[in-house]
Amino acid sequence: MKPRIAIFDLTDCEGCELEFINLREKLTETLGQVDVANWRLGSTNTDSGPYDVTFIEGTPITEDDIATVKQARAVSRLVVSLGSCADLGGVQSWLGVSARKEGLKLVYGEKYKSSGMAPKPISYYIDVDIHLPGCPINPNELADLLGALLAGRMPTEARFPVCLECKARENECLLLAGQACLGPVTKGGCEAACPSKGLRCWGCFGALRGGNLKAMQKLLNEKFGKERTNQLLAIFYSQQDEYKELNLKTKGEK
Amino acid sequence: MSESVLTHYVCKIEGHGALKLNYKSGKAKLDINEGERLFEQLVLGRPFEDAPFITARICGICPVAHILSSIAALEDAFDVHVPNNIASLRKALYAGQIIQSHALHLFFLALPDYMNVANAVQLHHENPEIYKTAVSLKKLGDKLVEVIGGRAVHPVTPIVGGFTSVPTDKEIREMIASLETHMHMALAAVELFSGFKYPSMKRETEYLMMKEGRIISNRGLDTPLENYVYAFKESLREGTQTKFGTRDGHGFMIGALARLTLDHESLNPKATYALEKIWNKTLPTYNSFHNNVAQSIEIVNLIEVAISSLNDYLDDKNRVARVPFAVKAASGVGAVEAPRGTLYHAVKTDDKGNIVLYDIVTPTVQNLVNLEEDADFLMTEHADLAPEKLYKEVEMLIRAYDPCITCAVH
Repeated sequence: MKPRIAIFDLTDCEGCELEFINLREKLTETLGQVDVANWRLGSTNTDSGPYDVTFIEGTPITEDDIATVKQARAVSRLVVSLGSCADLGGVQSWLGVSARKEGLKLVYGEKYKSSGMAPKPISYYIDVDIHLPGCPINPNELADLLGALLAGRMPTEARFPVCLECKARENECLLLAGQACLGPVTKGGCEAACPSKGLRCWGCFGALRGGNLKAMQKLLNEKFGKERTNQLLAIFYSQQDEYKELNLKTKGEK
Repeated sequence: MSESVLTHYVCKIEGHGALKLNYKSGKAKLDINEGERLFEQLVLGRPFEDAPFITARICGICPVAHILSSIAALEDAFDVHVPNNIASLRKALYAGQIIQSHALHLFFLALPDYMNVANAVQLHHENPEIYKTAVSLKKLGDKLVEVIGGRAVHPVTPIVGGFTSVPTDKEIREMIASLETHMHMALAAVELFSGFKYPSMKRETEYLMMKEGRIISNRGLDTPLENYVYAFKESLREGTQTKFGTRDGHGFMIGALARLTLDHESLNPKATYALEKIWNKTLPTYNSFHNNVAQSIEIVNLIEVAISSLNDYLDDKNRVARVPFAVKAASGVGAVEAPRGTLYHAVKTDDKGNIVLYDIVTPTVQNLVNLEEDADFLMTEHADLAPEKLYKEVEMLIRAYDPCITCAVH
């Protein structure tokens, strides 16, 4: 029997699940070998489980998002957090609780009642077996992951910083050039997509486990000031332990 | 919640909406359920350069539209005027965005309705030729965005004033060649989508689009885009996280069909041929299902636009990647015709270039009321259909609009 996979999206931009379609020729090669049991964006099939591998994309914010995460976990053998919204909480998670309240007022007015929760990574609610971060994910990593799972082994996670891949591509160092590049403390796997095109690393794969975030913070503080440094680090790292150890306040938190 | 949360949202649209039909009253309702991400708050207090990067994350299907709209607002604020070569490259990048989005919608989301397959993998088995066209056109759009933007989803190179890096001439020449060889596929797509039997409907409505900095309509609207807040009203409804755009209390339609109806005279030769000889319909048709055909004609047109823009770029003798500018306390409005219609970004900055106010109005917010009015119209006009068939038809109507609920709630 073919392995059964499901892809769910919560609140997010849906760019990471789009990378499945962006696999193009590889899409039919790989998805042809599995049974796509439930994929709302890509298919009419909506089988309620069980699934062998479930990809969850997006940040749980609504009650339905949270219910989806829990129900999907209950009927899945392996759960993959697909992209930085699921894996890290996404860009929307850097607002603290009180800033979120202000934002709701700003966007929707005084009377608006939100039933949404503060954005968290899905690992806040359930156990995650495989992490595939990125904003967006690297389609090559996705293809590797699918290949590994089809071959019956667990995919390997990058344990190196973006700088490793950036140096391998012989790019000029943007940090040395005076930009706030987060490459040295960000988990690799993106093949240095941004710095290779002249854009500093924003940290979208999350803080590298064991990376020296404190030293990076000090360096950025000196050059860009504390407020900007926090903005730089918080945008993707805000829900990670490495960030919390810095004891910074996320925007709007007292 | 009567059904499982794992299965109750409308499939093959971007974002989460559950369709509820009341057969007795003849009313259709798309219940939207998307978390608030609060992008207009996320960028506050940050330097201006963060806005294009962060607001791109509103949508993984049309990030280029958000980036370029954000950049347009900031360039309006800071009085940045980019030279022709940057404008040409942006035009081509933009064409890539619409080609990739339309190809995704047409072949992967809408087409299964008309070919009676569940998804693209099944299409691959049952009609490999069409699948090849689907994948090739999607790849063409992706490649164009990749070559200029550096990445197919959430591109990295566009910035205020220009680009962080530009493609080599060799890459551009290869891209032009590839665009040329794909033209026959784009024309085949028009043939395919012209040939489907769409549900019959005719409901007159107002079409809007942005052209040369002005918002225009088929009912006489003609105002500078800075006036967007007066052109239509955005209002909230209880229990939803999206806003709804109306003009004089009614819906209006934007996007491919609106653009084709209002501006078909600006089409390039092959697209004109596609409209007049292949589709051969008199506009306006007032049938929203035809948005699908309009998208396929736009793909042809944008291949032509991309080719000429890239040639203009190559011919330009005074090329620069970006231009310098000074930040100031100012406000600006920017808009682009995104795949689904006019997308507005507006910004206010302080004297250091930090963002103090930000506003975003997405196409789907503007289309939702017209979509509901169309759905109600179908419910009444096609009331003799079996409930199951009517439900499917309303679902197909929703997909024909190519709504992006992800964008609508941002």
